[in-house]
Amino acid sequence: MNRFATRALLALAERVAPTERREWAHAMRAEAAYLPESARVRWAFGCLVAAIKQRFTPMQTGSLRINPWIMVVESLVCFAPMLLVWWRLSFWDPGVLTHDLAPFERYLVGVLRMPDARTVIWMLYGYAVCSLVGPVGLFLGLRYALLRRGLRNRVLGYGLIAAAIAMSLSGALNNFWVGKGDLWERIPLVMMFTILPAAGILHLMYLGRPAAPIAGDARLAAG
Amino acid sequence: MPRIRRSSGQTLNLLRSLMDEPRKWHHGYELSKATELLSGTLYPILMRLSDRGFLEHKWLPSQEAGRPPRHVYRLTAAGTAHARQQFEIADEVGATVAGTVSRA
Repeated sequence: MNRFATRALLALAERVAPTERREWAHAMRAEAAYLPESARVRWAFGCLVAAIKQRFTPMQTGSLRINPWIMVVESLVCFAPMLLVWWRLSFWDPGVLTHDLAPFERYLVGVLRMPDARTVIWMLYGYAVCSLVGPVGLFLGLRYALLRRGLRNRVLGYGLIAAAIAMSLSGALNNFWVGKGDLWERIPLVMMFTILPAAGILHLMYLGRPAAPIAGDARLAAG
Repeated sequence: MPRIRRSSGQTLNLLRSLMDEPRKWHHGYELSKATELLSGTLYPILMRLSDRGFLEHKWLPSQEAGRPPRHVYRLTAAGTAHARQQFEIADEVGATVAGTVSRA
């Protein structure tokens, strides 16, 4: 019975072990042949545990180092809404990069009777600059997917996060001044234009960190 | 300055066993008995040390007929240096703890 259990456990361990650990699974199995009969089942059970550990190690997501294709999806989710906002503010009518905003200002003052039209124009410029998080973040995300290069420039990273926060802050202040709008209505906007882009940038900054060195690595690198 | 990761107590035990006779090839059961580690703990540590270039391994043909070749292990030069470094760190931590306890 013990012999059968030992064989079954060792065979299972070999099947469970990932391909790159197959040699180690053979090693554990071979070692069992040298053990006293009484210790073999326990040894075989340990081998199965070791194989399961090895199977699960690459699945751990604690490192946040992810598959490039997942990064493509993540980048689209985090930065595409902001990209659309940037595109809208920069190129559509009235776009801050493609149109003369003077007629638009006259329209605001003359037709809509807005006394602070100049502020609105400056806000358009401000939003256009802040929403650069969209194209820049998407570019950085796709660069990681293609070249596995994260964001190493901390100043740029924190600048982009500050821009994403500024988007929501200015929107909230605007609502406060105008005196309308519900906080609950703003939550999806904050999620789309601040939390997701900021999380995406933080993730790219994490991926840009050099891996934590371990003792002896320098010697290994030196040969 | 590069951060030095401190090894677990189980890894330290294993490094001590390997360092007892650094040039000798050790087999898994021998290491398991010396360190009192079960195979489920011992082999993942051996794999990790090997991945980091601290351990070399090879298959040794059996002297006894009918038994399979045996996988044997010993520390590399980098592994020996790593072990010494880890022992120093462990001693420093031990001294710090002992000092704190004696002051308390």
